Amino acid sequence: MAKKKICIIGGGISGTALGYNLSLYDDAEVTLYEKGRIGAGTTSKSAGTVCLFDDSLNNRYWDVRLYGFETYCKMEKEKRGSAGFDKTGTLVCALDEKDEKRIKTGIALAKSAGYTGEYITDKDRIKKILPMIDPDSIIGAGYTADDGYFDGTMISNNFASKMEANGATVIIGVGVTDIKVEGGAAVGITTSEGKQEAYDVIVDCTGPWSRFTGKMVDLEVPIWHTKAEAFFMAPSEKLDYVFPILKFPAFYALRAGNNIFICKSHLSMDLDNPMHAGQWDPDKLPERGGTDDYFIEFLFEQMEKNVPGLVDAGLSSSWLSYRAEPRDFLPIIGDTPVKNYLLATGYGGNGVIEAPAVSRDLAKYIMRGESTLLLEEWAFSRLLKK
Amino acid sequence: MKIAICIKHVPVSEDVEIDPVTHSVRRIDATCDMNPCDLNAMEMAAQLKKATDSSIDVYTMGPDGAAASLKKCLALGADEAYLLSDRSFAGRDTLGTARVLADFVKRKSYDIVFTGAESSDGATGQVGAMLAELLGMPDVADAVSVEPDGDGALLIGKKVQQGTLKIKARGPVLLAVPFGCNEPKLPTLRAQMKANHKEIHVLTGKDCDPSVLENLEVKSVVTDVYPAPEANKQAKEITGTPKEIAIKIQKLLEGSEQDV
Repeated sequence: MAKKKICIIGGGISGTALGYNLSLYDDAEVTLYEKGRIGAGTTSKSAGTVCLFDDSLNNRYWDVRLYGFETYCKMEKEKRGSAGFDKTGTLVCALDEKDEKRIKTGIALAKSAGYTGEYITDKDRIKKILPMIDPDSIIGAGYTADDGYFDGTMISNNFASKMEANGATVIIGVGVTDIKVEGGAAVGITTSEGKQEAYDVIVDCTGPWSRFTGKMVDLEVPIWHTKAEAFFMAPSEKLDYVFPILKFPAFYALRAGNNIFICKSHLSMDLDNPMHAGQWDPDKLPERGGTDDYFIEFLFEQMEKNVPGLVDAGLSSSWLSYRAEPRDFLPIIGDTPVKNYLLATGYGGNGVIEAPAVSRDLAKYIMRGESTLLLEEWAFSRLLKK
Repeated sequence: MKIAICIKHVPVSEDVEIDPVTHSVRRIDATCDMNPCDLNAMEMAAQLKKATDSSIDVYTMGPDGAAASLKKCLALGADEAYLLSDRSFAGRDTLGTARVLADFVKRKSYDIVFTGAESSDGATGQVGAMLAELLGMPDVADAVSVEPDGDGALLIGKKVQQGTLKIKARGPVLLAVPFGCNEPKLPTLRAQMKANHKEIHVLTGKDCDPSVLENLEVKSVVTDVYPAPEANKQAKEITGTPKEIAIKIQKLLEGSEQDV
């Protein structure tokens, strides 16, 4: 049986999840190229929150969220700690009735899948779950103790090991420097080592690098870089309770050791605001720091209003990362105008949540030509000017 | 008591580029932060301010980006911040740096001047002592503590090989503070927010005494830089049952077996 030769560019959560799912087909010959290290690019800066209900992904795609969560829970069951699960639970805060409705829908969906969840309006109860919060700033909050955050780098490495065990090839420290196009179709690549390889299908899983990768086939990949500015804050006293993932419409927070990690939510980013979004070079990102003073203003305003217990916490460290964000804040998956050149990019910081379900469907599409509703909704074609 | 602290904004990334001609670090492209032992000096200054009725002025010489370290100091308790920035100050050696700093610091008659013992990039440890000389102050190197000792005197702890030497001194005096002698506090969100709104006083060559500018000729030149030899360390996986692993670790610790 002739095998389909598939090249995956990028070894983050997108590339490794796709590689693993493709490696489950015995007629797939998969090679993944990662120019740096597995899961060490934008994936390593993901907070890894996979919450049963929050606003990071519309409830329309709730099954995508559940599939990701359960994939990682099964990974943890296979080998404890392999997905870096920290089961802190999540507190999702509602500022208005629209938020409340969304949260209550999420709770119903979580319960339908057998998880716990409740919508709380009792301010004392909310304060008991998170003593730092000002419950008067919200109208209520959804809470579950069942979820938490994972480690995107560990998961990516786990997927990479699994795909290798299934016979796929993972090449680390080698980038793709050119893609050969013949008759409007991608047919092969050249690596940073000068090696040329022919492939039947090439998939760009390079996230914030996709603009540059796409240029190799003269494709304008419609993603913007939004700034994920994260701060690690050290509370003045060691916490004697489990700090849950805290979700507000404008930001989210979670525990990171004895510190609290805080980041602006991706849906609050304005693609037309140069302080939020632009076209930058992810290779020039500093290892740490790089955040803007405006973020301190934002953080202070949000903490003073909503989480006053963190206003006098110490600013321990910070970093800046770029999310790859299409105009509608949904990923770009599948075919492009260049035949056999596919995309699995633009997750906008939701890669850890969305990659398992997307990769399952995309692998089926690549190997069997069968599409799914999810792939149809997240197709490149939706972004083309009509 | 009037306190001054002189700090440096230094590259913190390991991935720094060296200019092939001047052999100096390309600071423009590097991720920078406050020099680590300057944080210890700032902590000591802030504690002294708390214990006495004092004010703290912070100085740094560097490009615009160095304002970030000044803002950090403002959030940690400094009252006023001065950025000494001019093309004519750039690329100076330690003596040139000390001359520029001294020209501005001497104008305010400080009782005590703090510096870090050395920078994490150049690591010469010379600027503090040079600055003291130019200011006509005695200096205490490796000052690990300072506290008021009544009647305007200071009790200074100086690190020596056998322990800590206590020195009683009256200002003006310069203290060079080594890394790790105290635990620097973190700036709080509230304090950093306030500090970011505070004015940074920018002083340029025009504000400098002309005789200082005429005397900034570089007298020490870096002729070469080379990477440190790579450490030949290797990691080995210790496998087996918990008991077998414990025995292997015990042998390694006792040195009775080199290779497990």
